[in-house]
Amino acid sequence: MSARAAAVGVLMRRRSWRWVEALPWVAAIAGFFLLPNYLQLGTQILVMILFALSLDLLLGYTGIVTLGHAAFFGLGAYTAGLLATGGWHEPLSGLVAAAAVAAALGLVAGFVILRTSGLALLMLGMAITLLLYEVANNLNGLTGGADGLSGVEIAPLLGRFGFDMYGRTSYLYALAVLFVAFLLVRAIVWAPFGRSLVGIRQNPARMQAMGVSVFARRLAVFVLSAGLAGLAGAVSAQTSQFASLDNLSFDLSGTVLLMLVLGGPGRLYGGFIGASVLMIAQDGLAKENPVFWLFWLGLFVILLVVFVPGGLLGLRARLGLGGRDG
Amino acid sequence: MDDLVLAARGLHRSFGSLEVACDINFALAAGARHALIGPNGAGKSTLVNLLTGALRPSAGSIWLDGVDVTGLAVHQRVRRGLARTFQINTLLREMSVLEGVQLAVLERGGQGRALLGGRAGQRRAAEEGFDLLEQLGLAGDASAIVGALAYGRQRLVEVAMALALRPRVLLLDEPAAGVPPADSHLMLEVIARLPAGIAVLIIEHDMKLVFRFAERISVLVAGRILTEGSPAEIAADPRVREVYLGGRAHG
Amino acid sequence: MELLSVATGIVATGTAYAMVLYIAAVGLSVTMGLLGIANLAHGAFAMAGGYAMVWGLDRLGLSFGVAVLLACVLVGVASVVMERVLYRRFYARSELDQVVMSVGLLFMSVAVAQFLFGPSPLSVRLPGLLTGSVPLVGDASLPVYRGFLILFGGAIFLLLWAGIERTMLGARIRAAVDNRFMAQAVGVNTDLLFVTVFALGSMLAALGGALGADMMALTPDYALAHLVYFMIVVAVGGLGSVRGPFVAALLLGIGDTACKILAPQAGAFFVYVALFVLLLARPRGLFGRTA
Repeated sequence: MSARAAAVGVLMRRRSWRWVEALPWVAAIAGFFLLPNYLQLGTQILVMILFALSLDLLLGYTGIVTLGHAAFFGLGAYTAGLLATGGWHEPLSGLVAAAAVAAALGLVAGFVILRTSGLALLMLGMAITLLLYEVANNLNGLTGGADGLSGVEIAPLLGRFGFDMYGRTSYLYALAVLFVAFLLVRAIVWAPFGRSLVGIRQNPARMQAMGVSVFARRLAVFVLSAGLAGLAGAVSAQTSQFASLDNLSFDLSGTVLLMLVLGGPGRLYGGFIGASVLMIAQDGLAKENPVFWLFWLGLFVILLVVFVPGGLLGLRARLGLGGRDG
Repeated sequence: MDDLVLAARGLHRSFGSLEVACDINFALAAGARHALIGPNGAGKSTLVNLLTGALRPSAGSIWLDGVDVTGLAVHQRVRRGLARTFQINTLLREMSVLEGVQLAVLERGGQGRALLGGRAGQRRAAEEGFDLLEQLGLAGDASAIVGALAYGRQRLVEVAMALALRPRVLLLDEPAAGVPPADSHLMLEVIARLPAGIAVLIIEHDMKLVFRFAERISVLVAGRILTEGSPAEIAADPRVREVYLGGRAHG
Repeated sequence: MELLSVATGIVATGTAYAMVLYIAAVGLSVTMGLLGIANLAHGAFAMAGGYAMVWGLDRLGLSFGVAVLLACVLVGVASVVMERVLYRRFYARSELDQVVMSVGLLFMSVAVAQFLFGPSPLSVRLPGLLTGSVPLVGDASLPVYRGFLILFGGAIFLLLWAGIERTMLGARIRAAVDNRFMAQAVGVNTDLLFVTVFALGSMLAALGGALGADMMALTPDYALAHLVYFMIVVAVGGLGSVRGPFVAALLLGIGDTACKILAPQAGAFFVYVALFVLLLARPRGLFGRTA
């Protein structure tokens, strides 16, 4: 084989599926059969993985650090919830609508947010979340205000599979949405567009010198990411049949960031690991004392960034067990 | 005038009362080998920024292939054929050499906007990129991570990424800066072998490099073009010697 | 007459609020400008100052002034330890690492505050001298304490301005903000400078938290609840500046107070909308330097 074919092959093979990538899906399906009492927690984990995946596009691949991603999650949750309370109970169209509304907000907000950088960018992300919080809190009659939006009734999926009280349909529904979204994100990050995002993360000036409108690319990924976050929020609202102001909180933005960083950003699977680890730990520890949980979570992530930069998947790479994908 | 690929007409730029570029005129025909020299603080970086679009001129205009591009952004000028290298390496440090060049080829074809798929295009771009690296003597480093290369090699990657854009004009911003003397011949060879059709503007301190390579030289002093001529004329010009070659020669 | 007294009330209350915001947040501007660290946990130092003061007042029976002083000293000492142990590891780190670290600190501050002081807001006993109010125009009157805040905040601003513009320390800070390596090269001990600036910024935050405890309630989630406002003051005012944040704090304090008095249902909605419009027009803030 020529040197050219070899070098090109190395580059092209990175797009191909590896066997280890089947692992999370096998684990998710095994969980369905083996842990029937934990399907509600499992559904929440799947939702957070999807949310972390949306953030990974923005933060891990493009290098945009934001603390306002809950805005899009919450908007998706309220959109799906309000559709249902308003009489539109079909779930899949609800998902699409929620993602579209969140993406539209992403376009408007991103247009302002992405002109700034650093502290101002962080601040605007938080401000857009608080803005929605104020709206949701004050439109009491519509959103239920501080009590949250209850009575979200969802019609059977595809007209056949009802959302039962054991959460079986919810779990498989969340898993299916995550899988489809994951296929989409995986295709995007390895396509030329996704590679250009990685280039922007590494050096925007170089990408600009290649003729790339860095602002346009960043705005495009912001819209995509916002849409996916809205999708995650919609799945959350439909499966829990509830949306609340917590979906628009700083805590949620911060938590999803910590999940992604714990797992390892820019590697597609960081959210899978981070969300699973943190939510299982939280389920075990936080029931006793939620405040205590915040303390240990904070301490844990500080130690992590001091000693294990790059997250758990980064640790794997540093031990020589596999390189960074992005 | 029609065969001019890059022209600056009466460029002015001032920051407050400080005039950093004043009535700058020059033009490059296709295939030109033009050098811009000047002592530190003469305004070379400002001029580079004006040409690439990072700075807007206070007055005057910049023309690419007979089109006024004064109002265009940096990336739009690149898309019209103006490529550059940076004085300080500006690379995609965590990627392999080949992937960086592949990205440049893809962006040249406008494929970087492809959200999905693009596998065939990526393969073709990688193959083209490898051929280019081979021409520059970088084939052996194709799969190496850019950040792990020696500085001199990274300078060559800068040139490779610019050439991958198949530019009409190539702006080389101090290509030899920071390269250890033992490796500087590599850059000289690469510059000597640049495709003949490309107009090259080189901004450089290194006199040896400039005189070996340039067919015409403009001398920039205090934001103004002091004189322009062939290397022999510049070398013989007493004013140039006074301000530049005299007490504070760099090369 | 009605209109005038409402307007006077808004301006007076808003200005007092602005002074608290300014004192609490200005340290963030200087530490970010100089140290380049996105310290989102800055508000935790303000909260610590507030709690320390209340502790001094209630448990130790100190007088108001002494308790405020004690709060600043305690937080100052703690911040030196934090800088040495934690923050200096992050000066050269990515923005993401800094953000994650400070979000971790924020979460911890909530837990620690709740563990030590409980979940309910603590109230501050003001000294007799600073209670009561003076009548202004029409029905409007100004609580003496708010008048004190306005005067005190103005004094802090002038002190900082003169300090940064006129003193040797200020010259070093400005030099280091502009070019850290150059400052190092000409012999400024940046290590010592950094810890000094960090401690000063934190002590200012503590001062703001202590004096402002009357207006910005002391609850465990203080650092989270007020974070956005601190960030607005700095981002709109401009990094590394003393004057910019002052103007930004005034705009925010008065604007926010006006919103809450004139349209209480909408809360801070209009503040956020105005913020987006402002940053659309000026992405680098009011006084941000262009690149």
